[in-house]
Amino acid sequence: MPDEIIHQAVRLKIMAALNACGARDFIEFTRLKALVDATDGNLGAHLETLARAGYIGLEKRFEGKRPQTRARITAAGRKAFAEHVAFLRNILDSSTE
Amino acid sequence: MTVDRKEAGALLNDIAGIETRVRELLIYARVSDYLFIWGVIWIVGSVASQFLGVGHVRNMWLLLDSIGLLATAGTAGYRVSQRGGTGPTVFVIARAATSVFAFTAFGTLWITLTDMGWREQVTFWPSFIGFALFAIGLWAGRSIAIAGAVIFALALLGYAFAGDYLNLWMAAAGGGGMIAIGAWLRR
Repeated sequence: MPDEIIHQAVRLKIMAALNACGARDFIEFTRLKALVDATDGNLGAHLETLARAGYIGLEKRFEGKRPQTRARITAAGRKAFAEHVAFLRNILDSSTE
Repeated sequence: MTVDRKEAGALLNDIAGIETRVRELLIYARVSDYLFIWGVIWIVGSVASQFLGVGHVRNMWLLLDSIGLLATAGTAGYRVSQRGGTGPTVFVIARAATSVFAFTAFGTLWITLTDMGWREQVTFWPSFIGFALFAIGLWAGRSIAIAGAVIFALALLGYAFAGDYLNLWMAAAGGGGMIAIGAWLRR
């Protein structure tokens, strides 16, 4: 079964981006916005959804005087993403047989 | 929720595209660390070379290269510890230090064997580094290749037109260029 939280297109891209990073690497909000091609409000809502599911961690801090939000994937998020990718691959594989 | 083959293929393509882009950005961030380090060293060394006597220049560069080597190795080790890598940090530090040492030794060997004049020596290093970055960039990311080509071209322009101010040209174009390119890669 697909993971309904991850399956949404923007959230899938967010998870793909964070999954490509190391265990301690964060991606900043503005960079993530450019990567997944989302608006501020849209990205913020999707990040909150993923954080509530325990798939990502959000950190709010100040870079100089500017507030900054950054995200990184959790172990549970990495596992859920891997399972969802396996699910998608399985659909491709089974329909080519 | 049902997902058909077409949708699954499109989503997997999206994932692959994002992963490639993120890996490029991570490489750019790491390369920019070293561009900042060597850009500063290049500026200090080139400006000092313009005003120091010939007898002091070799020792000064030896000192600056040693500082650069230590900074490169230290940065590589710090980055690995920050990423939470599973491999021993000491291997990464040793690998970074050996890379810088091999790179410097190769250039020094050919400068010595070919008995280069000072203008050729001053131009050799930035052109060598620019060329290496260009070649690495063909694999690691287009922006690094562009950066390498720019450094290479600026070095040759300085050789042709900077006259007695070649060291200062290399400080501005080589060192300053590396720092500017490092900042550009992080944009």
